[in-house]
Amino acid sequence: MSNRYDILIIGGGHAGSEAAWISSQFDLKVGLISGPGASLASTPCNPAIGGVGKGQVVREIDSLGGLMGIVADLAGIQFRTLNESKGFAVQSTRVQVDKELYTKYAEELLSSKENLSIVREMVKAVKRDDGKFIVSTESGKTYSASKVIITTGTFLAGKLHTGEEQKAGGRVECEESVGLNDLFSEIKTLPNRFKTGTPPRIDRKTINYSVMEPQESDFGTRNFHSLNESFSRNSKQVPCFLTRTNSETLSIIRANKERSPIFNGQIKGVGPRYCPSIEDKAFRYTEKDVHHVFVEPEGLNLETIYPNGISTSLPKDVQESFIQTISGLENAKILVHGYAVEYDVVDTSELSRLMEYKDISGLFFAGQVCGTSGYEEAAGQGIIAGINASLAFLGKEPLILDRNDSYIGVMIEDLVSNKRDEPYRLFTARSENRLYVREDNTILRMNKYRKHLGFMSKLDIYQESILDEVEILENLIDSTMFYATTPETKAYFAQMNYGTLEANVSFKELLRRPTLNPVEVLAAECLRMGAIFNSDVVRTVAVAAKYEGYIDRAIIESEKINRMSKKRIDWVVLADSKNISFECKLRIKQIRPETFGQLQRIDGIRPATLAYVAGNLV
Amino acid sequence: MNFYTDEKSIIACSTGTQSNTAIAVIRLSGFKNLLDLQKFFSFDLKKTENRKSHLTNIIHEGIVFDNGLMVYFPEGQSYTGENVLELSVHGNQLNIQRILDLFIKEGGLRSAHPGEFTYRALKNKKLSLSQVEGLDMLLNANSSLMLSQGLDILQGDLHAQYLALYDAYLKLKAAVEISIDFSEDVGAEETQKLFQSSFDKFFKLISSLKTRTEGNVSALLSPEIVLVGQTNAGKSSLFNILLKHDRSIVSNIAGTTRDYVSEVIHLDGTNFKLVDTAGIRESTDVIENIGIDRAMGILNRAFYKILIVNPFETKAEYLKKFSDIDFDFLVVSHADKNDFLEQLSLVNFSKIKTKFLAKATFESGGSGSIEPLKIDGPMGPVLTDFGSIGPKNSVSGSIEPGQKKSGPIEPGQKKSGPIESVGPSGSIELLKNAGPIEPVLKSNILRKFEISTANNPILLERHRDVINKIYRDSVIFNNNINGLSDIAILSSEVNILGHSLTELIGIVSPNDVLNSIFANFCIGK
Repeated sequence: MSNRYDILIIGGGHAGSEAAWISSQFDLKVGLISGPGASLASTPCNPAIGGVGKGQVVREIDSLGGLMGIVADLAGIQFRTLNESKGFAVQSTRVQVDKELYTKYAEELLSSKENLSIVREMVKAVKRDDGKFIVSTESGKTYSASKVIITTGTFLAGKLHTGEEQKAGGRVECEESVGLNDLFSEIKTLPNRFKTGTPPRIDRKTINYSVMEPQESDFGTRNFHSLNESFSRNSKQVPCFLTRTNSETLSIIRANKERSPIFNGQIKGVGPRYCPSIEDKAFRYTEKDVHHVFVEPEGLNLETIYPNGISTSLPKDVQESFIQTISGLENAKILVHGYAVEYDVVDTSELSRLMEYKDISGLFFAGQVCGTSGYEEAAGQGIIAGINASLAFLGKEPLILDRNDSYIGVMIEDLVSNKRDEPYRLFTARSENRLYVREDNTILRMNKYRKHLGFMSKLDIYQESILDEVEILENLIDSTMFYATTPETKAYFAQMNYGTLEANVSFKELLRRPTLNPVEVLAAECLRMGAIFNSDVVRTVAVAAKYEGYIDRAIIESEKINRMSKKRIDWVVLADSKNISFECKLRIKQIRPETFGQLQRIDGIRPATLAYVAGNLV
Repeated sequence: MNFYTDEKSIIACSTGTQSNTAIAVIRLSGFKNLLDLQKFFSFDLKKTENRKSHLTNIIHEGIVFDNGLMVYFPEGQSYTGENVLELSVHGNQLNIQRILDLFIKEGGLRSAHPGEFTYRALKNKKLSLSQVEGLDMLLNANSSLMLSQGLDILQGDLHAQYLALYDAYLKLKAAVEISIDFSEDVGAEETQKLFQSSFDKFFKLISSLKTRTEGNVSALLSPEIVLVGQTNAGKSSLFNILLKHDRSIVSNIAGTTRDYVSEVIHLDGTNFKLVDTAGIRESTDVIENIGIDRAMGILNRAFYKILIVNPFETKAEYLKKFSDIDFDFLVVSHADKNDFLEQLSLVNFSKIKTKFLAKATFESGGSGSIEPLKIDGPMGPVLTDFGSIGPKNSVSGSIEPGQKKSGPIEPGQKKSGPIESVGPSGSIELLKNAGPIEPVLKSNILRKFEISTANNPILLERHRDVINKIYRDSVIFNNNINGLSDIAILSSEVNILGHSLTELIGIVSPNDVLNSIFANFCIGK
């Protein structure tokens, strides 16, 4: 029967697309079910991929053989390196994408896989039957699969809000899906729904760009996909623009507090603190009137621009009047009004680190349905769910990413060791190992995980060659010394502006000199020695040399903490203790932490509780 | 220490077992259920109200042991965090012992080890480690300084300052994270401003704590006044004058005081240990040489150092021994003798450093007088009258990063050049220039103590060590801010600061940082 699949993915957003893409590489029969009207791998909010911390995730996905980096490179219309002046370890890539092109390329790539079927149907129910899952759709068809990955994003019992107007739906002009509890009655959802929002879209022709600061695409930003030429561009590059709100903007918003669904009680869902709506900004930071607004094109051929920073669910007339107070937007015409969406979220503390539901073997979850925000977070979970569903189907060992060497590992551990009370986004601050988990060394960090998949493709050969080159270059560095006794070397140092050469200097010491850019120095020295290395290799080796001492020290410090983190605790005893607050005990009962580290990572656990438990461990 | 893992209920008399008193308090902690103790009380324990006192007989098998008051503190609301019962009973020592025995033999309780109630409070986080240290200081204080600081650490100003430091650290860490993760949202310039201002605030707090760790604080914990001088210079006479009664055997036979003798004198709320050292002199006597080494050791850690010189019997080599010591007072004795000034001019004082100098006459009967003295010829730094060292509370204002301010004169601190008034105003409060030895010397000692404690020094060594470590790391951090644009490295340094802070205060949780970010700064494009 043709409706039988090895792996079936419900939802065709970034998590679903990524899960389908990687699963199909295992030569399994994969089905991707997506709503009839919804485009695949859509970017319904900010048309950008990457960002601080998120750029690392995109490269991690790419190193595992994922889709996102390939598509972002193809559809990218403005490339930037964020935090460029702040040190190599915290630099991240962000690519503004053409949302039409993004969907187009994603659909093309997914369709190119012969063992992957894309099914356009609305799912009505998922049932278990004799170790398999039966998925039935509204048109009355049924599909069966031994592994199911649910990646339904904001569509579960989704509800849209624009001012007083409310309607069911997962995003504008798309129908909502049935509630998660109806879909799968055994699945536990969080008691609180989550909320996210998006700004109004503006007609590009009505914007006065001349009063805004342009931000051009950076041609020195490396493409995401490792097999792509570093700096080639597939699509035409265009600038974004920066403008700002002012006191007039904010006073209009403040005057309409009672009409704001967030503040008048109409929306009960919890929004992300790190991505506040303009209403949140107006009422939480009452002394601040100037907020950045990034004016970003949604596509080369689209009429809409995305004003980043003013997501709102205020009534349409209020949106229109506050938009026009912003410099350059005086005559702006809104084509699509901003809105907020509320949706059901699965309780991720019921998931394992494979993204599998602990109590239902073979059922996986990934993406915004797990309470994360962001395309990259969704894709990162999607690829891990896809890999583990496939490995499980093949009877192979699962893949678990460590939080010490990947942001995906950080995210998944944070997700499964917590009940979320707000949407989760990755920050670099969430990693204990920020100096090591960088973009430049992604292949070094991820190759062991890619190897675990057992593929032998072009990507695997490329990664091996990078690893080899890194080893050769590191040996070269370790065996090179600059001798202060040689007058020519002294003269050379002066000529290259390397600083003084009083005593002998090792190559590594030279790279660590604070005033020098280690990447430029290493590149110049390779050139001088006639050694030709891949520019990515030069970069990662130079940056690693620069941070080596700091990374070592951070490892020593974190090991001290790790020793504590690994100590086992008895949550049953804690949940019964009179010396722990009621709220903390509730959390402990829900999460059932087994180590001090897990306890520490539970949101809302008070320092007093940690101190109490720590005091009893020593 | 094995007993610390024992979960048994414990009992002890909290009011001491040394002498009979009207009332004694017996404390029981860690029992599971109050009602299990019903057999010991005439009062119906079911009617017990938490933290209210009830009159009861203490009974067992029909025998009344005593009549007293009981107060029940349930788990979580008690000092130890466990169920606690406090009994106020009659304070006869036999009675107390009989009641303790009753509960131990018939109730299965165990006699508490010293400090065990507090240990349990620490374990159950009713107190932080710092607070336990404060309590220890409060209970074992031998000066009003320790009393007030013990209380301070337990609940007062110092505790609040530690919490303020923690808060400032969270803001600093948040500022670093904002700079990395959210600088597009907030704007580069504002990010930088935020970072600098949060560091400045943190540095100001740690600097002001650091000034409270400076100087020879351990000398203040149990301050010692040490007398040194050549045999028969008059140490014992001076000792007895300060003590106001005879303690050392005083005779004019050299070497009468073989080893040092100490007594406690109580000056204005503080106990000082007054030490008379063995005669430091040229000697072939091995035993006495050991005594001399010990004397030098005592001298080094002393709070107040007095050197007594008899100009009639002083050898140059003897005075050379003290070239590393900063004396507080140099007394030249035998001022009543006829050829005093002549003899004085023969003594080489060039190796001696002292803050004050005087000549003294000891009279039999434990009194004597003292007068300012001027010495011609070379001498170490000296102040020749009995001027005050400066007004109380001479430390004021805060210290900015990189700026070093000299505080009041501390014991052991080297000063080159003559010592002058140290107070910022420069005013000198003059004492009587001559008079009886005892009040002059005592008021001088007290003044020094007041000045040394004016900046409210942190007495606990562990706290001083951690504070100094945080301060040193902060200075390095400050240098890095100026010399380095790599925020990734700065963030790694901030984490290391956090580890030290954890030692002082408790655990810094990552959620505290994120909460601080979201509570204080507008994030989000």
